[in-house]
Amino acid sequence: MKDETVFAIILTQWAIFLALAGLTVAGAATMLLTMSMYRAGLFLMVSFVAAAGLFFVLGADLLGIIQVMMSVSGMLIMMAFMVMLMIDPGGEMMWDMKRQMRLPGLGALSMSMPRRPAPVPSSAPPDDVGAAQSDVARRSDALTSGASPEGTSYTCPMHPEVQMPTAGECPKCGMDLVPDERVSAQPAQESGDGMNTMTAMSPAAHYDMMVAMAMSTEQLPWALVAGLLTAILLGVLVIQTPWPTVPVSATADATSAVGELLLSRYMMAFEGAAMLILAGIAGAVILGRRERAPEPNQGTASAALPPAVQHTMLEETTMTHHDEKQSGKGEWTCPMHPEVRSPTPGACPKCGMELVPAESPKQRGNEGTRR
Amino acid sequence: MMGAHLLGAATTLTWLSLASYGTAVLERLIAPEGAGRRSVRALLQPAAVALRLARARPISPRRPDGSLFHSAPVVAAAAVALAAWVVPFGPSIIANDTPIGLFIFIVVLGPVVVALANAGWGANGKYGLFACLRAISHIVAYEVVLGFAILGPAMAAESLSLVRIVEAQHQWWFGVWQPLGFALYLVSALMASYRRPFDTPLAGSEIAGGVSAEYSGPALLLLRGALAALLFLVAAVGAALFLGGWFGPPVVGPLLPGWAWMLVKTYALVAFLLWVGRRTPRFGHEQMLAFSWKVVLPLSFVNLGVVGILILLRG
Repeated sequence: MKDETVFAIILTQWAIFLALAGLTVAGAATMLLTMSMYRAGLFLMVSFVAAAGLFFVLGADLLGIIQVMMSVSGMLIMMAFMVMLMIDPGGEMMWDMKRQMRLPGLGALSMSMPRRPAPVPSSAPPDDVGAAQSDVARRSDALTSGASPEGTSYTCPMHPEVQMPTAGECPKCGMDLVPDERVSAQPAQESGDGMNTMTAMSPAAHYDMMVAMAMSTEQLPWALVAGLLTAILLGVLVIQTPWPTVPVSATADATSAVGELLLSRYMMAFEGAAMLILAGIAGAVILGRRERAPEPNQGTASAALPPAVQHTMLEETTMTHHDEKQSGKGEWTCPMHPEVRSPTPGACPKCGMELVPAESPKQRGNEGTRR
Repeated sequence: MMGAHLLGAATTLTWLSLASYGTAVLERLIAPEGAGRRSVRALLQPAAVALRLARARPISPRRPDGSLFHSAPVVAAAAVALAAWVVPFGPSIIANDTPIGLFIFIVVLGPVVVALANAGWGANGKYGLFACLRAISHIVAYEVVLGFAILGPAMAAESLSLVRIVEAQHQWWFGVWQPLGFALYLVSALMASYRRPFDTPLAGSEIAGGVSAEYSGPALLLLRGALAALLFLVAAVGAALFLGGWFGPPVVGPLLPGWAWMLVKTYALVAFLLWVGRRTPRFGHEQMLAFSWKVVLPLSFVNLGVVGILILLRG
């Protein structure tokens, strides 16, 4: 093979490798940044699939395709559970608000909203968003033009009708109250959806509100720091590897050599994972078979009775056992008072009901648990 | 080298479009009602629909999750085209003959589910949201079962390459001595291609078209085309796995070339699947999940055992 061809192949491989590696990192980073849990799942999936693409480039196509299968179906199921189980799937509400206000950007960090939006001509606002913005503009105008604000009060970011003299929690939703920046001339009920309050907020109040509502972003700064540290560490490892490495000359076959190495090492891990899953299924089946009605014991039926009665009952049941052992069945008992035992049919001495043939305690217990 | 790849991609897309057109014609022929049913007009009716959709002005729903919503039909079509990449129509009529072609085929059906889920989620509506969850329930239902159904032919041919698997059937089709595996494959194929009776993500009468409810114009055409091509591909792989691929039946085999036999078998399977869908009441997604995991999966274990014993007996 000519040198130029080899060089072209190596160059192409490098380009594809860098593109896929960038996609892997970018997918993971966007997963951290996005407000929508659905999108977070998608971005993580993209990251995993791009990593699978790296396996393909290395010639370990079986490994890559397994990675695609596991990440796609796993992430899909995770997204389904997040959508189904959460009322606000990890910030979907915030994400929706952001979309409704037509704010650009895909991440939580770009959530900074305009504090003083440009004035919109009041004649025929295009839609409700425009109306809200012009509303804010009017109020901001009123604020700057010196309309007297009322004494410091606190309000809920989501329930502007809540007015409290002190800081604390909203009685409606439990969110932290924020200082009310609205002017007294504006009736609180007019801002129906709370959007106006949000646009008039300071960035810090904003971030607090996002954290209060989005459930998943309180750890965002820490996640960013951790991700940065990991990236630095990885870079250091790539530059200065502490363990012995195998020098691979840059040929056209080098990637497939690495791929074979990967395949040989990681297939064992995959097989181990498959064994674990199989063991888990087997364990679940075995445990599932165990999960039957508990062993009937004689105490269950008498748990609600006074101790004295229980005592006599216990004696009588043990006696019944003796009787059964000696003379078989043939006792009569009251359906309502099981402690009553009589060798002959007749009326119960306690309630006067007709006695019925006594069953063995084991049968009674079985019936009780089956019901 | 690049030009050859582009040419291959263009060829694949062309024959895939033609194949999905054939699927649409068959669907029309089997349809219970509507224009062109069971008549010659069925040949042209899909073209009329496609033309109308292609020229229609696309109507976007109110505040969609833009990138997801608009990319979904493209992602679906791309995933289906990737699946077509590994389906053979003759000993050499295959875009990419890899040793793990069958596995790749199953795996790239996953992004189709992702696309449908995105389409439903991005539409910003209740129908779409329900359809999104239902689409995701499909991958839970079909993936494991499909994997076990294709293991029978893979075991018998001792390969995951679709070409090897077809070549192993030049005497006996696998469908002849693995009828249970064939039936299980067809059930999971119906699940994987979102056709009745397992069409809840797209249920027309129930949630107004599901994931396709909010699409219109060229995007809807692309989505429908991708789904039609998906059915065709799933049937083609069924023909390759169980009906001998490009090998004709014993006596009349030489009458037609190999690719023609493959086409005949594929379209016969498509017609059969559509007919089964017509005759079966629709499964709810929870019924589909229960059916898949409680009935089809245990049966596929049985099938694997039987096939293994038969292979051992054959020596």
